[in-house]
Amino acid sequence: MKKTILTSLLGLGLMAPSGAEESKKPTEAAKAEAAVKHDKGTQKLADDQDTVSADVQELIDEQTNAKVIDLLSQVETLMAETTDRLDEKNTGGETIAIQTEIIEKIYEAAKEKSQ
Amino acid sequence: MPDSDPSPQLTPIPKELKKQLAEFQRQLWRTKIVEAILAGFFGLIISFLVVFVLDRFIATPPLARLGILIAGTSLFAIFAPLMMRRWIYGHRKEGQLARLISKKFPKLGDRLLGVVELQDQKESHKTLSPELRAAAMAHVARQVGKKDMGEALPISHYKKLGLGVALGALCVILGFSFAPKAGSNALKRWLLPLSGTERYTFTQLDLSGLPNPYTVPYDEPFVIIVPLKEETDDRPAIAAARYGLQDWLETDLSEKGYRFEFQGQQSSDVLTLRVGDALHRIRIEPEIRPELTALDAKVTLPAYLQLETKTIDIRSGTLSALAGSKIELEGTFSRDLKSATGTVSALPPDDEVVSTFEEASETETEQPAPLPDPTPLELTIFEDRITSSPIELGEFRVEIPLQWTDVKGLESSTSFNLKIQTAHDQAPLVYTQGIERQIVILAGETLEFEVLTEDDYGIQEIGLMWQGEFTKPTDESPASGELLLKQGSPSNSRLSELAIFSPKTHGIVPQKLTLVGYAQDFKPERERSLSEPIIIYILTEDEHAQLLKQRFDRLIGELEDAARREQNNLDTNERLDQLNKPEDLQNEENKEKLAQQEDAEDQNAEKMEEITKKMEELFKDAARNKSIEKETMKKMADSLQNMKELAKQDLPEIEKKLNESQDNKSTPEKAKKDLQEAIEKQKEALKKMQETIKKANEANNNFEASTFINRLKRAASDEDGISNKLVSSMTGQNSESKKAATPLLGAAAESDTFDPVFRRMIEMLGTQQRRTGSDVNWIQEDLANFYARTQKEIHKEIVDDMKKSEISLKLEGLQTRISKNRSFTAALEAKKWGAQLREWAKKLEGTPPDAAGGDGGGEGGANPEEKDFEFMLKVMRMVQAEQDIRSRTRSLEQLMRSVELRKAGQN
Repeated sequence: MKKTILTSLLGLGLMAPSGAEESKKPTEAAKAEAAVKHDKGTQKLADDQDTVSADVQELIDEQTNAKVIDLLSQVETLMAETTDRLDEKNTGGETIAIQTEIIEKIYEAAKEKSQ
Repeated sequence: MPDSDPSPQLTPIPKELKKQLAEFQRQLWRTKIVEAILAGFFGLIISFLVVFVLDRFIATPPLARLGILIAGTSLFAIFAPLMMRRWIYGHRKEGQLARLISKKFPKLGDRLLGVVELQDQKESHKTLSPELRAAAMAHVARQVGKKDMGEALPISHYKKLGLGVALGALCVILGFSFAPKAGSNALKRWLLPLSGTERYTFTQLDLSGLPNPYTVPYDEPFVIIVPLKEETDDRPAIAAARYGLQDWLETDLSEKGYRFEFQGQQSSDVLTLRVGDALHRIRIEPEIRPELTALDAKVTLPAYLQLETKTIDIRSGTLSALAGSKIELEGTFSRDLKSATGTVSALPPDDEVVSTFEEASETETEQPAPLPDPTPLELTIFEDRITSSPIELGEFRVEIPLQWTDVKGLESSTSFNLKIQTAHDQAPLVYTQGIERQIVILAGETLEFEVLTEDDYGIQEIGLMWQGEFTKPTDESPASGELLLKQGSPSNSRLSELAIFSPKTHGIVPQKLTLVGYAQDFKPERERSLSEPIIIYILTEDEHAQLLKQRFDRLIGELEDAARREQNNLDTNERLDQLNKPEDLQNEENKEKLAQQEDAEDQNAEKMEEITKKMEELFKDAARNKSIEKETMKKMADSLQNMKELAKQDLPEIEKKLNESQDNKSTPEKAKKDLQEAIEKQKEALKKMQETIKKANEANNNFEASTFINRLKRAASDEDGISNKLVSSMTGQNSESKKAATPLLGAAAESDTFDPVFRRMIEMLGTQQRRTGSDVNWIQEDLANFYARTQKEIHKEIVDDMKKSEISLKLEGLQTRISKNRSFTAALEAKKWGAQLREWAKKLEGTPPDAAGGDGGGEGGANPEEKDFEFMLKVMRMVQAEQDIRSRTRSLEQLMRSVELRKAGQN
């Protein structure tokens, strides 16, 4: 069964064996390519995070509930920190933890607003 | 008076007498010496003959033979010296002879004795007369001379002894003459009684194969074969044997000897064997056969697996080991062994199950490899243990029959047949979990799923591989790449890792992507194992919106069906309510109808719940797509809220009232009242359903309006794609044009010399252009219908523009140009129509969907409820955006770790 899938994928030119063999031992260039991909990805993420941060600022401006404003301000601060971390190409556990905190805080703000 | 003559005078024995006495003595000595010698010989001959005769009947024991020999030689050794002492030493003087003579002739003997004494008498002339003594001696000598002194000799036995010796010697000679081997054997056994010389028998048995004691299998019948020696002098036709005191068994002489078959024995005893004059006793000891108490295999796996040697208990007789392994056997037995043998025989492979047609065809064409010849297994014995030399396991399965014999000569009851199955290192099995086989996502979304793999040995690594494919013409390259998820180890037979795959992280633009999980084991030159492919359609926002629109259409259809069913239920309920008497409601027929109505209401409530769930999903997906306007989202949210109320509250209440109306305890009036209340609630629910449908339709219209923009944009993008493809092919910038032998520009599509690469491309572009033309026709028609329904001017304007531009006709012409390879003009025209379609999209985009007759209401005039919804929508999108960012962060982190893992793996 596995062989059939492999054969069909090879037939479609999707999984070139030579490429697969090469990929087993990536060259320095491949590693550098991955590093570049990571750098660009973090830069793009930092930009996206900054855009969401701007949306939060916009949302704060529309609010009258102090508690909601406070929570969204905290979200904005955390997003700024995340943006900085992503700028520094830091995609580690701490950055992800802050992002999780951001999501929790947004939910909290939504809950506060609905009360 | 003193003696005058002091010197005495001696008178010697007369010469005659002296001579006679000497003669007597000589005869005496000769006779007795002869007797002594004959007696010695007689004893020896007799003792030899005793042994000779005894040996013919029994195996004379060594001590008995020693006794016989001593007895025989004692005549020589003891009796002869005694005779010598008596007759030779005891009769050396005349006086002793005279006394012997006196025994036969007393008077003569006394006179002789007197003469002997006279000759030694010492006296003077004064007292004795020497002349008188001499006369007396002469007188006696004369008397003796008259006698035959031989008569005075003692009785002699030398004749009898001589006869006896002669007879004995004759017997010996006869014995040696007729049975020289028996004679020489008896002589040897007689002379050397303690030498252990075997008794000679005329029947010579070859007992070299029968050790004493002889061990036989416990309680098992056994056979003893006793062959005759080549040199046997007798070959008796029948032999007899018996075990202990059991009955004698008789058997005939066969070619191999005498074959005795005994019953199984449990206790030791003596086996008596009688063949002719041969009689043997052999101690038989029944013992349980030696058994294999433990058998282990030390399996050294092929080096590439990097695994330690394993010890496996194989008492069951089967072992499955990997081809290329080295196997050493270690066995322990119940008794010390004398010998053990084994042969390694290769067996033909079992019928293998062929899983695919390709494999089947491969096996059909392959010639089976010849089986290697059996080879003896080298076994080393140490007391009760054996170890084998390493067995190198090849492609064939192997059979090793083991046989052993213990130090007592007992063989194993049966041959232990060890079978070693050859296993092959299977490729890892890899699969994905937590993701569907086909999935549609936006480029910004992230997929999280698990990649799991299992292998029979170790797994080196697992990861992801992907290959993209554009479904429309484009000058971009399809995505291709891979990601290492986790490094394994030789001892990891299972490995799993969460894969976080974000197309955006890997720079993958919207396209069709085939994603597979891979696993690599340690077998050199083995290709990676792949999971079932996951087909991911990465969509642009407009494609995504169109997909949502299709789902929304189906959902509204289902909602309308639910409303129709509710209307039918209401009609039936009203008919029941129109019955003349309330009592009629409680008759069996109507009660059954009420029960049916309750069921129908229950089914509709369930259906409504199902629709609500679908709507929730749709709403969630729509919130992800930023191209969908918030007004549309608001209407969707309103519809969703109504659906929830209908499913959870309104319809169940109707069902409850219908149930109460069937209660047997209720009065007819109460039942009628319950039915009426159910009808009232049903009317309200139906009204709410219709309102929901209206709102959903409005949302759908907005959706449709917004999708016109997307559809126009997509058609524009398709035209751009066609144009770009043609341009890049003309300028030789894409991969196809590099493969082609002749340039695209100026080549006639109908020509035989038209390069096949371009022919394929032109066909593909022509097909794409036909599809785009068809899409544009539908857009035009849908816009006209939409205008007819909504009366929004902007849509009419676009329809008029499209008709005026004759776009349908022109796009058909463009298709013809492409087919004829009018590449340059086709590229220009496609570019032009792309720009035109984009302009119309922009025109539509510039107008809010509700601007021409919608519910209206800008942000400034929004009521608090709408503001709250807007807040919630923003929050929802914000959460989704943040979740996407987090997933992409994880994906990037995984990418980074993948590079680090590879570095670590290479180090």
